[in-house]
Amino acid sequence: METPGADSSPAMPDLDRLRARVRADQRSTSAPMLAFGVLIVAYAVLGTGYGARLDTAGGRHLMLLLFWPLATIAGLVALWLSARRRAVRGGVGEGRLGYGGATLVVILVLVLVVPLTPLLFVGVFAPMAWVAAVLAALAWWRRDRVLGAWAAVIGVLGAAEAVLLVAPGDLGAGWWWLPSLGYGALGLALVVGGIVVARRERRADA
Amino acid sequence: MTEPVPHPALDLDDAVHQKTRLALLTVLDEAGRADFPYLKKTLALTDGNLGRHLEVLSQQGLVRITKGHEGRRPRTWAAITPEGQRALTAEMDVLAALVSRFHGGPARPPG
Repeated sequence: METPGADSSPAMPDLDRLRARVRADQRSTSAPMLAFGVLIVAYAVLGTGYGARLDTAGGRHLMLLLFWPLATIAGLVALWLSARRRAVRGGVGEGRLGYGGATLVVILVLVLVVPLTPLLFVGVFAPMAWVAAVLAALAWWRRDRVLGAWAAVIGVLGAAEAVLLVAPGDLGAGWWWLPSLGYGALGLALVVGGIVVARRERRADA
Repeated sequence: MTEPVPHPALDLDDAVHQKTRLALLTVLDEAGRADFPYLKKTLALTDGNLGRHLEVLSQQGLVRITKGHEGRRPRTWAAITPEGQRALTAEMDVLAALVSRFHGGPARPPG
């Protein structure tokens, strides 16, 4: 007869590996990378063609102001829904601190803090700093080093962009598309990185 | 004369220290909750073995078992409780103290 204290199961003694396996099953790293990579690409697209059309209607500034607060909430809700679906299909929960909580925190911060501070303007003048802050918060929340590294890279690029914006000198009206090209390249890099990580996570599953 | 520091091994909790239960608590700590088939697959356990270990953890209040149905299919979920998280953290502290002692580090009480 089996007794709980004397089993011969090949349970893995390496607890770090076990945690890594659970995270792979949760798509803990790849899902935020893919979600926010797609959002950055969408921002780049809006910043060029569609954004130019909005400008004629005077809506471009409103779009720039509201894009990242709304996109952050949309991204987190998408992550929350996909984590719930994974729980139902695969039987693994989304972790002690899930995306639902993160979404509520972002909404609360926006509702409580935004009317009192010019926080929204971070999304206008340093949009990548906003993305980096959200990814860094997720990385810290979920103790994810890979996500943290991406947040750092995006943060450095976002800070460099903000410095260039306030630096004296003018690129000229003919170069208006350059930041959008940069966002597009960064978003695509994040998506490709997310796909590579997702493949690794799936291999860990098998 | 100073009191000798008790050996950290004396602080190990039998309910948590057993390797399958330690692995179960680790998985549940990371996942928050997991269903029976997921735990079976991840830890390569039999139905009987998993059930008995979960029962021990549940009796200690370290894990909460929820039975329900999804459509017609019965489904059992296990979730770690705050006591379970505290017990796992305490266990890790004791293990860290043991490793430190093994490598000739300072003898210190765990936690």
